[in-house]
Amino acid sequence: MNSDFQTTLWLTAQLATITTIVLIVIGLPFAYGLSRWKSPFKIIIESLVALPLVLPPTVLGFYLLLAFSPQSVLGKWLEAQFDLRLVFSFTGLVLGSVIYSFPFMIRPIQIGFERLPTHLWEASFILGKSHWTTFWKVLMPNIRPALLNAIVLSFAHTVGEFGVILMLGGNIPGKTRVASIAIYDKVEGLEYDAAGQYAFILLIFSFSMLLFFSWWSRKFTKNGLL
Amino acid sequence: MLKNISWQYIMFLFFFFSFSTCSHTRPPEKTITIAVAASAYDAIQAIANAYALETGKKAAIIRGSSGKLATQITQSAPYALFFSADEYYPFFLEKKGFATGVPRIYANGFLSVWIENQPIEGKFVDYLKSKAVKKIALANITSAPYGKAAYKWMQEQNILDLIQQKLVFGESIAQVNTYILSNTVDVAFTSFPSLVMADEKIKNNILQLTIEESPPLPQAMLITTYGQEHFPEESQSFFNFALSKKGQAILNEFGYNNP
Repeated sequence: MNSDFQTTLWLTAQLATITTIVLIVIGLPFAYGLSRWKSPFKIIIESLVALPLVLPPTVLGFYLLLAFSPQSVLGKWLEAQFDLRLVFSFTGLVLGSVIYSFPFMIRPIQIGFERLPTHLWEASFILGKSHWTTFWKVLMPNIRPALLNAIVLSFAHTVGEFGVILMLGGNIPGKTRVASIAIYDKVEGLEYDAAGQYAFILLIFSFSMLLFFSWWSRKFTKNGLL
Repeated sequence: MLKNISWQYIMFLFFFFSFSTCSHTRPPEKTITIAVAASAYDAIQAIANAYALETGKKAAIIRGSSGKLATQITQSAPYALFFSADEYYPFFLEKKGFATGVPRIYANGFLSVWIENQPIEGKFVDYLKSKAVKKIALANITSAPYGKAAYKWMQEQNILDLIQQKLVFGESIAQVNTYILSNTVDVAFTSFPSLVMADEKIKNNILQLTIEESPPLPQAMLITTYGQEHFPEESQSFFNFALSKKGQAILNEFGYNNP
């Protein structure tokens, strides 16, 4: 049981970490672009981004199950081209989690960029710096609290994810049985002690992480940055 | 004029309406709630419909894996009757003091297998081991009796080690059937009665494992202490109906064998 316990927690940590990294990589440019984009269609995109916030996770999970099914157009193509089957796989879970936690990464960062005074990047351009340098050396350091916020939220949200994984995962030990599913599984099997152990570890871990990041972001504001 | 309406008036209206609806929120409950294993849901729903026609009394049926429902009953869930997919959970509840009387077997179920790509060449056991089968679905082995039975069958056939990697676990037979209907697995261990109402195409792809390979699965039901306390006559009447000729005939229609 102990090695099961460790495997499950490790799997959960992997899923949350990989999802968060993917979200940072695609989220940063996306949020930046969204913050700079001026168009009447912006609210449509913003609403689409925010959709996973209000959509019941089981709905999202179920439709992802259908979309990635080996009999669907997308599923057949993935299997033919990459020998990849996204249903009941860790990769599928990462994709599902990325979609599900997308607004938690985008929105804080987008708001962070939007709140930056325009003179920051205007000054940078006037001094001849490129978009790339401006982004990394001027804007990014100033949105650190927002970025941190986004990272913590996305990570924590993925750790707690249940509905999407329940629909898409198949509860496979070592592959898709993450902590949230394992707890549910143990409760259904009347193994309350084991469920309690998982729950306790998750609680301690989540709380410590939130505490640490609260302290860390406070440090940044103290230094006079936004 | 709107600006002059004071906040006190708004608060009064709010409380007035919320309290005035209080007396209407809890009418005396007339319908019993029956907890049914996911695999038997359709069959028991049909029995409930027949029961309603005969007695004019309705029953609300809810489904889930037998283990989950049993857990809920131990936590005082308001279920008057419980139809399990095995004998273990009803007798477990009886031991713990949540049953009224002794659980009775209402049907003999059997393990069935759905195979997407039919017909298969060679023996079924070999097919499971072959590369053509990538994913095999079964119900949760700790809380769903049909999942346990499927897992046991795999162990007895000595193929568990070879196909462990392909296994996918549904929360209950209901989720296994979702996998079947959404074509996301190649093989699924399910219960035929739960798919009787499905497409012909699905039904034609279901095999019944022979008696030698998988023994019948006796399924028991009971009246809970909740049922006895709140709906003694109705619970007993439904219980009897399920065991009556009519009830048993309906179960046969769904593919169950009589106890």
